[in-house]
Amino acid sequence: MLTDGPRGRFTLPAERLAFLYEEPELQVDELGEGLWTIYDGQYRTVFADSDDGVIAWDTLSTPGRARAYRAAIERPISTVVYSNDHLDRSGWCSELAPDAERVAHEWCARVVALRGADGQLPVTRTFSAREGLGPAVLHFPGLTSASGNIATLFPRQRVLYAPETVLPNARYSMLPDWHITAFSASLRALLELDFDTVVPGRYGVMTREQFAEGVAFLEAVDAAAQHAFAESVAVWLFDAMEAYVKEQLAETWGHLDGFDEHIGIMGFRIAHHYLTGGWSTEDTPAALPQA
Amino acid sequence: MTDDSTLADDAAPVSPCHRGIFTIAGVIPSQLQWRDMTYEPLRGKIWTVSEGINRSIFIEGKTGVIAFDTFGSPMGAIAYRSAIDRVLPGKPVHTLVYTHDHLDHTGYAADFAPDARIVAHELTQNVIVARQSDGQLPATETWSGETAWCEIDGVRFLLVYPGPTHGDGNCAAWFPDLKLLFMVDTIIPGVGYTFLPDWHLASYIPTLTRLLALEWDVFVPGHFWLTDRDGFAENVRWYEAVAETAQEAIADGVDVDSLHEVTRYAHERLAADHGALFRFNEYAGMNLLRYVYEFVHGGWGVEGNTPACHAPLEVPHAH
Repeated sequence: MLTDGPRGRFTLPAERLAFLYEEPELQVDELGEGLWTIYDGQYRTVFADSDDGVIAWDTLSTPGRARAYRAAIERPISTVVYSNDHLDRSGWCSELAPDAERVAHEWCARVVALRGADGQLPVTRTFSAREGLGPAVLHFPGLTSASGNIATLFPRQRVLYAPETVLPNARYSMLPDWHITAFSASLRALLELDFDTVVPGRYGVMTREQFAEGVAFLEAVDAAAQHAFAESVAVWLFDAMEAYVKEQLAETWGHLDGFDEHIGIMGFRIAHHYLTGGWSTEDTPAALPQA
Repeated sequence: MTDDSTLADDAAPVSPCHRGIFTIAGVIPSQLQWRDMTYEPLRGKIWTVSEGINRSIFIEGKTGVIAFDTFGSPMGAIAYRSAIDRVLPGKPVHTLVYTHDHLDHTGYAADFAPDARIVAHELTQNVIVARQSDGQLPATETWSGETAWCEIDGVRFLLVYPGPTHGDGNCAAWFPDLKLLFMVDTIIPGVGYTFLPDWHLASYIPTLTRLLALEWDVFVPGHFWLTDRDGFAENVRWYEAVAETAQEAIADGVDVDSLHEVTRYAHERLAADHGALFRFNEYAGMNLLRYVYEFVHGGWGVEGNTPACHAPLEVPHAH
């Protein structure tokens, strides 16, 4: 196991960063012929066989986990797809497959280049809307979260890998780096694709019906947060916002795991979207890249 | 006020006021809620105005008024305009300066001063044009770069864009003759901001501290009350402490998806040195959670990954 290595944005002394280099046991499950999902207990991703070698999606969330991912695949990796720019998704290609081709949406590639994080290697091939890649088709459905976040469809296995979109529960925390203006339309665009199974970026594998339910849940939180703000619930008072959205949503959505713990901060975050107007040119109806 | 509701859902009835970016149908009562403004003279011909939460400034010119921002709702904008009219009767608001793009500060020029000349940084303007929010008028004049001297109706000030801090194109206004600096949604007394919405944390502290090169002893923030250079330094220390503690929380294996757990950690680690700060109990946890994501994700978007400029702020000579 490494005791030092790439550290992303962390500035703590090396002796405090041992957690970055732990290599946990990973759970690997076959989703269909030539397609697997891999799970480290926190994050989930997929890898697939192609005519040119293994294609790995993302890197898992730390250098150590990326190395464990590489070991679990047990074969050379020819291509790594970055689903989005976040370091906990695609930050450690230096440990996973430093010589592989790296494919990402052009907005993701731009942020990765600008960031220059030590383990997140620059993208070598970009696309803008849709791109075939071996057994998969990469889709940019519009803005969801992060920069250039894509979903990947595996038509033969009828599987959609869609990290940082819908979860099989309500554990969204503060919806970090979400683009509230477009998320509903973007997620509904994904529902136009032909799939039965969804691999989210975290937690368990979902059915198509669970994905659709998750979209409806997020839309319901959005509406409840707007109503709270519209009805003069003080958007900066957490307890008041939490009480309002809980009351509005518990009957229909209270069965979702994590609802009680997360619904307050979700509503609070979305209310601030309507308070401030959305963040940057990305989170507008025009959905333009940031200057 | 207007009957225009073109940005609302098709099903929405005619709205009695500007709607911002609300997409729900029907009237938005909070947009119609009256806000009582308090105002006081600051220095020279500068006044400050607040409804208790947001704060702005306006300046008496020779023939009219130069106002900054609009407050955050149609009624807030109307109350702001009413306050100016009471303080400076007969003087029109001929110029409006936007500090940044957010609706809670600049969303309602259509209610505040629809015919005024509006000045904004081009980064602010980009967002406003793309957003098309009902009530937020685009600027009529934009500026770019780091600084721009303004000589308007006998009032002289320097607009300063020190780099990404919060929102888009967020700029300060420096009044050198009065040693006064006004900047919204950056420095604030205590832990005044919730989860640091639309903050650009990677470059935040070095960018802000460039403003210390200017000569000022009064800082007017966009919320709550006035502060000074000591208050500025105290607020920067808070951000530095949160940045360090966020990394410690991750290293210590705190469940960083749990606001409850992160808040508990924040209180445990930060209360001894910072617990007396205004609103520490309310927002220390949210501040920490936001910083945790900064380190987990690596910053958000282009703005969140733009390297900070460490060069001293250069003040151009006024014409």
